[in-house]
Amino acid sequence: MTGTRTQFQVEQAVFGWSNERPGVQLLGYSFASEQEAQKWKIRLIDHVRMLPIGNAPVPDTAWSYFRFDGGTAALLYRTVSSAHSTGRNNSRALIGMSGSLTTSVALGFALKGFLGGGEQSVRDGARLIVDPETCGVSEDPREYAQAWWTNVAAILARMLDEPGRPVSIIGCRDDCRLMMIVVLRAVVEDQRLARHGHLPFDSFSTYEDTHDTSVVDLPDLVFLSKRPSGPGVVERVVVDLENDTGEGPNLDEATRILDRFVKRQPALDSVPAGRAAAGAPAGYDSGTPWESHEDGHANGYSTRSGGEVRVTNRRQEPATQHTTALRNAESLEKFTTELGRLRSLCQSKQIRQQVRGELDVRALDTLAGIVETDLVRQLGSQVLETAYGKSLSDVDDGTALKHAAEYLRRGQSEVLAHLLGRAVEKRSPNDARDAGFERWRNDDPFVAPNRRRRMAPLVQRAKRARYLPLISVVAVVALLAVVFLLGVLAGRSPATEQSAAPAAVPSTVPVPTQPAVAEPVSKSVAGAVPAGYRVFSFYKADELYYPQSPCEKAQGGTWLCRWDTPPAIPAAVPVAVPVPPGQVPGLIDQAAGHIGVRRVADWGLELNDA
Amino acid sequence: MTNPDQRISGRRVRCPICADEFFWPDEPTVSLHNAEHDRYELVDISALSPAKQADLARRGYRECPNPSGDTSRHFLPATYANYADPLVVGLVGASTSGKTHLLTAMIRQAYTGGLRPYRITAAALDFRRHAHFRENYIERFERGGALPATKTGIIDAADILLLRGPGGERPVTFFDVAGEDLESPEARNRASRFLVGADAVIFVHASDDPLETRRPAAASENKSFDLAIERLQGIDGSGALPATIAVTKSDRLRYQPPADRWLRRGDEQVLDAARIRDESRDVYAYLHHIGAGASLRPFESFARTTMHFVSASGGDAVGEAMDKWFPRGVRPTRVLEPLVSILAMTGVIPGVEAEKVGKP
Repeated sequence: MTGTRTQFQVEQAVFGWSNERPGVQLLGYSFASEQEAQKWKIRLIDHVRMLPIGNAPVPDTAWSYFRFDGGTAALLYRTVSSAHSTGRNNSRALIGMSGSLTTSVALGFALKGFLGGGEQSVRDGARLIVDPETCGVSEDPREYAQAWWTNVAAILARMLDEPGRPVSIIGCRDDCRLMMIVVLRAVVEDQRLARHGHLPFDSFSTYEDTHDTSVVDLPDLVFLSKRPSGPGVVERVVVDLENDTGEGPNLDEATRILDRFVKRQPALDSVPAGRAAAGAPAGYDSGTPWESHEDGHANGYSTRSGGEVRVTNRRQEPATQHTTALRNAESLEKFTTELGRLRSLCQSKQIRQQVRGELDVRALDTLAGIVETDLVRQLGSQVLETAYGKSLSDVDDGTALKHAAEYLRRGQSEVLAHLLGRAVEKRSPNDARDAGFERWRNDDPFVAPNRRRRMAPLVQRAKRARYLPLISVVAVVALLAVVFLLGVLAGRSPATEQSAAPAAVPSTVPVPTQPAVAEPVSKSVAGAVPAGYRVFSFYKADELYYPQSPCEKAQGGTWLCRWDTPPAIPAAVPVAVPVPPGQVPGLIDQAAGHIGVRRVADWGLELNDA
Repeated sequence: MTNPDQRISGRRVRCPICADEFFWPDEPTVSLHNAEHDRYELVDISALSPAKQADLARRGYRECPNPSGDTSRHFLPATYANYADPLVVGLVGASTSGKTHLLTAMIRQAYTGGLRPYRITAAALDFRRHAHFRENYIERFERGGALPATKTGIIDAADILLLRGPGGERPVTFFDVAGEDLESPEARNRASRFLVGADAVIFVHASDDPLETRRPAAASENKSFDLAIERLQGIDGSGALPATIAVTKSDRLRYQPPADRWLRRGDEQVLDAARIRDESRDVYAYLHHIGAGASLRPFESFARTTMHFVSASGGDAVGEAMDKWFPRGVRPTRVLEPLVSILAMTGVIPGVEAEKVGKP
């Protein structure tokens, strides 16, 4: 979706001690207006001081990257080399749009130490031109993950203990912190942990002295030299690498995730999220793996629910945690990935309730707007590129041009017609004009009443009935179905598919329209079922699996399966396959629609009759 | 005198941190801090013996409901409402005026029995908070290290002590926020919100070193004083608020009259309103003489004000920026005088003499 990354400009700001106005002040900036400078001063001033924790030393430099509302971001470089006194150090900030000054670019900047000097240029009001190609992280995070195996596994284990919480790491060497951020971000992305509620660590800080909830805009991943003793409330995962090996119910899973990451193996969809998954399979099976369960207190006191754990209010908008990424998705891939992650999370009734709390009418309208305009256009472009090549270059050819013009005349989709029309017009304005005229003529409701968009009256009726949110949900679900169907047509590259599409969702293909009429079949099956997996019954024909229903676990390691509706293919045979539990709801949906799916890599082997 | 065992339940309390008022709930629960997981756990102590209940309550916390919803989660000592009339004392002054050094020296002196002549003892009411203050400030100070700047944006109290004396048991909450926050006109800056609930204010004016400030004369405005006074005067009854002005870094004036006379006296042992008035007169004259009239505004704005020469460390720190220390160690001088005046003016030190303190 995005083109080649090009150079971009960022604003600069310098903070430091001022004798004129005693205190740490904004000393220089490149902003065009003082008002803009003040806005950024207010946002960043509370983050610029480097203070010790107890008698622990303060690192010489620190990097912090923040994301703010409105799609802006700031990379802050703090240094104590020319400080006035402890806590009155100098800092320099790069400020830009988060779409350009991304977390990766910020990390590349930091790792290459690009901000070692140059304050004078900032005082002179100079913007900085950033070439993102030179800011990439060239090191291989897998090598570091391998070298820091114990520490990374410990961090992952603690993350799995409390998914979705920001993380504080104590005891990591100063010079390893940036690379540790790179490694953790890579593991989360590669193993798709975000789908289970884990933060992608889009913001970070290599040094903080406090990490309690009183700190506004504290990044998702921060490092501390020791555990602060303050009285504040900490609502983060805290990993003390000097004392914590990650021992606990999720260490094995963390090790498996790390192993898959290091070996470049794709994510398993069975990554548990939290104690419920690791220690309470029953809760996991029931579809509520992310609910927090209060344990009784070991000291004999009863621990009341709600006293210990409360969703962080560190962020200024605590109610937008689950759906923020979805609403900020800038591409179709990102949107579908986020939607997949959210769907996976929303197996939990509790999470669904939270999501509903986030998606008020306005928020849902925002989503509907993305779906109905941006994404439809993006999808349309993909469909057309499939048929006419990149940038619709095939239209240069006379035959393809004729084909395109024919669609302009008689095609049903306004979006495709609009996109195609521009390409046709460039090559042959006359053909475009003629086709457009015929289309306009055909659009007469008395001539072609079925041309009317089917959704339009529905939306209008819904508006009248004030059921727009419901319709928006329907639109989202409908689009998701279209995305699945078009996924194959769009022919995305394997690399794109791996990085963007949720592995948990089996690819679907058109199926025989009518299922065959047959008596239901039931039988017991047995075989190797990976831990945490569910067994699902399918009719298998050629390369396709037609989902039937989840099998019931019976005694003696057997599963009782049922096959109801075979496809209208004579060679279809009933099989039972272990599948990751996260895929079960999707398979049930596909069973209802009699949709065939291709086998997914993380399915288990077919089971035999018991 | 309040009996700590007698729970004053359901009474209206103003949280010193968020400045919200709420009814202290009468519930048999306390939140205990789990150090291993660094979180508070709500426990029901109703089944325990009274002695154990009292012990856990003394070490436990209670979450402030923060009815305004404008502050992140915070906890108060579970016994905070057991004592009548909590006192909130805020320090106001410019950046590098010495607020943190003064507060550190003051609390340290109070702990070492500096208030004994007034029959007052000091103890931590909030053990965790005091441990934090001790680790980050007092210990560093005692080692002769200069204290770091205070972080901006901090809304939390520095320390909460329990003072026991003839005036009863009074929780005293101290606020020390960054000078930049006190000088910020930004309405959304919450760090200086403690002023809303302050019962007394210590205004801190540093006797400048021209080499340090690179200014030959005192500033014509004291922005932190001005903003604090204006905000305080917007609150009902603020005119009666006890205030004191502490001229910090007075060791720089140790050979100059009138400061020399007061510094040589060391810590006082009796409460003498006339002597306090004399010192206030001298401080006033000194500030007026050096052109620091802007720092005298508290005297004109509040009905009861005292002024004192103090030295938290006894000398200037030397060394590099991030590693400054006091080469001869710290020798706090008269750091308790501002606190004693505040305690006298707020009734913690009772009596006829105390009632005269700060009055013309």
